[in-house]
Amino acid sequence: MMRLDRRDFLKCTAAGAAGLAAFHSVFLGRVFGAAESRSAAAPGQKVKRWALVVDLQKCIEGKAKGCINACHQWHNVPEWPEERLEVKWIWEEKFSRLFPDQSFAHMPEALRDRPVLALCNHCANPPCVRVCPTKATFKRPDGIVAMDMHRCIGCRFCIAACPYGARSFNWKNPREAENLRHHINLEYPTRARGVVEKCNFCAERLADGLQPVCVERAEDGALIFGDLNDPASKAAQVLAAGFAIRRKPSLETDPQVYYLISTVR
Amino acid sequence: MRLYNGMIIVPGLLLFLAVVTFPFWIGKVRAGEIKTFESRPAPAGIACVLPKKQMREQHMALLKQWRDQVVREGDRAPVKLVNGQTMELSLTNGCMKCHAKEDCGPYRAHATYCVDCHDYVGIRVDCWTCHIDPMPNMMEKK
Ligand code: HEC
Ligand code: HEC
Ligand code: HEC
Repeated sequence: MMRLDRRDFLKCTAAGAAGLAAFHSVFLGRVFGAAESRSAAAPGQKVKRWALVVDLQKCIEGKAKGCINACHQWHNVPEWPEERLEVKWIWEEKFSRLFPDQSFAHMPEALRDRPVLALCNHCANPPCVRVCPTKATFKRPDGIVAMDMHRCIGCRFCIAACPYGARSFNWKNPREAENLRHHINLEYPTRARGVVEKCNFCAERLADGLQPVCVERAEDGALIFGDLNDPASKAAQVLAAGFAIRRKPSLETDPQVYYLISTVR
Repeated sequence: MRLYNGMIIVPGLLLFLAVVTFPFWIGKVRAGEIKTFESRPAPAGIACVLPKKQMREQHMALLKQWRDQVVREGDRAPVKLVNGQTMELSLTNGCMKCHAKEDCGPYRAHATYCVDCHDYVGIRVDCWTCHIDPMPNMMEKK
């Protein structure tokens, strides 16, 4: 019988490992290669970083309602009369609630109580993604914090993790809501009872080269959407020429919704 | 040898066998009621994503692959149909836009067509709780 000494054993092991590796890269590469190359960015195409700038001078009370309704109609967001059932993608909240760190006793009351537009911040460092046990919520290469409804198990860890209150749970079947009973937008699916939902930066419209619904609806450029990795984009230029704040930056989530206070002259 | 209580044991055994083998023969008994899906001719000028046989066997796998492609990879490139036309990569605005149209002939309608076969094979497709079925009869049920 053949006897293997230690050296031969190691040689055989190494040869076997090399063989496996070759098999893996040549054979499996051919099988799965197509899928892999699809997810990689096309050569020459720079990675995007989508962001939204809310101009606080222009996005004033009353006007924001139109943007909110337009978004909720497009995405078939249910409207429930009970507040505890509320589902929202974009909404209004008092300045002092959105920016507790920037609020103080002697600031103008009109500013402190002023309703300001809020939505998912599409954080560069999103806590919701970190806690999701099924990877139903994930960060896309272009910065959008997306949700895969097919994977959501409704555990609501993400709701607890989000410091901005941007996520809602479907306690009831959304199609039973009064507004969806009368009108449903065929362009976008509804959700089901038992899943979490939030703003998706209109990923489905960006794919068609359109702007997000709220931005399209906003009057005189109150909302500016763009790619911050492209210095020529309007959003990048506005931020470079102005003073903007973000919600709770000290939490280091790196929010990508900016609130423009003023332009630096 | 004598069998005591044969009057109870023999029918009891037969009944037991009938119950245990129920799943194996009920299909055969009911087969007569089931419409076959073979006999429907394709409508002129309209084609699916793949030939009929492949479509029948692979549509569930295809849909899941496209779902991941769209949702997770953000790749919404339209797919080619057999006849060279293209279809938007979407359950409602791709598949159902055509399968709900009049000129899709016998292949029309989710409620009567897709569902007939799904009932036959005994599966419940839950996609329509979210994806919108453009057929009016389904829209009413909501
Ligand atoms: C909880 C709700 C929900 C359920 C249930 C659901 N989907 Fe989806 N699906 C969505 C959402 C939301 C999208 C994203 C649409 C978009 O971004 O355009 C989507 C996208 C898709 C897409 C790609 C785009 C499109 O509009 O069709 C496919 C394909 C798809 N789903 C297949 C399925 C299949 C097959 C099932 C059933 C096995 C299913 N889905 C069940 C919510 C759902
Ligand atoms: C442009 C119209 C069109 C589109 C789009 C389309 N189909 Fe079809 N489909 C057909 C026609 C026509 C047939 C019959 C084909 C034949 O006889 O060769 C068919 C056949 C089928 C069959 C097999 C039917 C049987 O009885 O065996 C299934 C399953 C199916 N389609 C599912 C889908 C799904 C899922 C999609 C979306 C991914 C889709 N179709 C998109 C027109 C379409
Ligand atoms: C000839 C029979 C047949 C027809 C016609 C048919 N299906 Fe199916 N379908 C099946 C079978 C069989 C399965 C899968 C079973 C499995 O793998 O569990 C399936 C599964 C599916 C699934 C996946 C469900 C899940 O939860 O995994 C979807 C989605 C689906 N069909 C959509 C359609 C649509 C849309 C049509 C009509 C355009 C259609 N089917 C017509 C036989 C059919």
